Amino acid sequence: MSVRSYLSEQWSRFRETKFRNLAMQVASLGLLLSGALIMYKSCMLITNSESPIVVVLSGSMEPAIHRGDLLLLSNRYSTPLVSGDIVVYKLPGRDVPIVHRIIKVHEEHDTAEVDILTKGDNNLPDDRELYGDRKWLSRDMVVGRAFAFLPRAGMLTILMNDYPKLKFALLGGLSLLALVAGD
Amino acid sequence: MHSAGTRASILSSYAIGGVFLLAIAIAVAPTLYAPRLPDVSVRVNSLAFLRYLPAEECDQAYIALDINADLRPLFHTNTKHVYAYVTAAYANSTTHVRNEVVVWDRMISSREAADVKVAKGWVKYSLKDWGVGLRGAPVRLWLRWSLMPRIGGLAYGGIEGEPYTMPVEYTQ
Amino acid sequence: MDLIGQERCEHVFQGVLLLSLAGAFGAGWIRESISLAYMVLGAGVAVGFVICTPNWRVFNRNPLTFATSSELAADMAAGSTGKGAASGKAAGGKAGASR
Repeated sequence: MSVRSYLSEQWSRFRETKFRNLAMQVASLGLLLSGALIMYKSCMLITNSESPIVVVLSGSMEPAIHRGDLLLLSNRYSTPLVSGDIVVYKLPGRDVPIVHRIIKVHEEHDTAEVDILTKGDNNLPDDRELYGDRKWLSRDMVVGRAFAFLPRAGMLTILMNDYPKLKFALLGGLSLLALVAGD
Repeated sequence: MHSAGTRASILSSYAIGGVFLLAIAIAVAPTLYAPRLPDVSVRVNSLAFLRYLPAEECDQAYIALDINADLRPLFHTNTKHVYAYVTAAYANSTTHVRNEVVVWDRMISSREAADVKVAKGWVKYSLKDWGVGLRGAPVRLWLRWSLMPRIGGLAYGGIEGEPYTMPVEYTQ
Repeated sequence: MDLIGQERCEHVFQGVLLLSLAGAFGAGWIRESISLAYMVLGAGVAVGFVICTPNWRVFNRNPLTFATSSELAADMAAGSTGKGAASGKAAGGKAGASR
């Protein structure tokens, strides 16, 4: 079957669909999307982290972690944060989370608050320059500690980041497919 | 399953399931058995100086380490890299109860490179305290590793080396 | 492919997939190479597709026999159970084929 005849068949099927069927398909698409949202929000609850899944956007942790790799984070700790842990942190006023490794931890005597210093494996200096006018990271800036790794699973996100048009093309195409396809 | 097209689509979904199943098996299998712990010894060979660093308002010590770590048991199918590092852990009674500073690290990418032998190696990162708490501090040295998998869970471990006590007075 | 052939075909593919999974895991474990494991799995899947996608004659050994209209009429008149089952099978086959 040629692509063209396939498309025209799908189109005629789409035109014949009654309003009720269309409404059903919109509803099931909505169900799918809200299901995904519920899954993500549940992950946030379980891991106590505002972003339990992050895609690595920079090469500063190479060769261990490359651009496009996916990290699963948890912000619930059975053990305290220690040097060597790979953490994701967000600096106040900066949207992009950073994935780096802890190289220094100082826990205060009375308040039990920790001062943390991080560094990317692939960077020569530590992250003090990134921190701006502060000297240390505090505990609440840490979004989570990485506990699992999926290679290259976030490549699509990287591509969508680099070519924003791709995002709309993909979203539109998928929605159209979900609406048009029979089952 | 009656036409080649539907068969191909059903069989592809089976095949995709197989791809994920294999990934899960590879990720989980190495965690099911307890690997032999690596042979590790680490100690302070010598101290170049312990001083007050006015620019950063903190104590700074510069040390050389003897490291003897055979990390080959950590390498298996699902090991991509092992990040080996030495931390100096100490407490000081005045300000901070738990201090952990990485003084040396190395990224190990293959089993051949995993037999780490360093004799009187000056540390990569000098030991800088948060404040002025290094004088007389008993320092516990640890050789730790962070195992980066090809896929799946990250693993951490470490073995304690010989303790070391900092000089009571600045040497410079 | 007839109905029995379809079922058999699916089982054959499942068997091939499981075998190649075991082989892939074993090979990957011994040679400590994930890419080798996936190459073995890919080869197994390719073999499975060659076996199961085309309409081989092996899967067409049990053609459906459709009841004739006179037989159906006789069925309805007699209401016999034995032939009713046969015609039911034919109807089921038709429904399967028209989907």
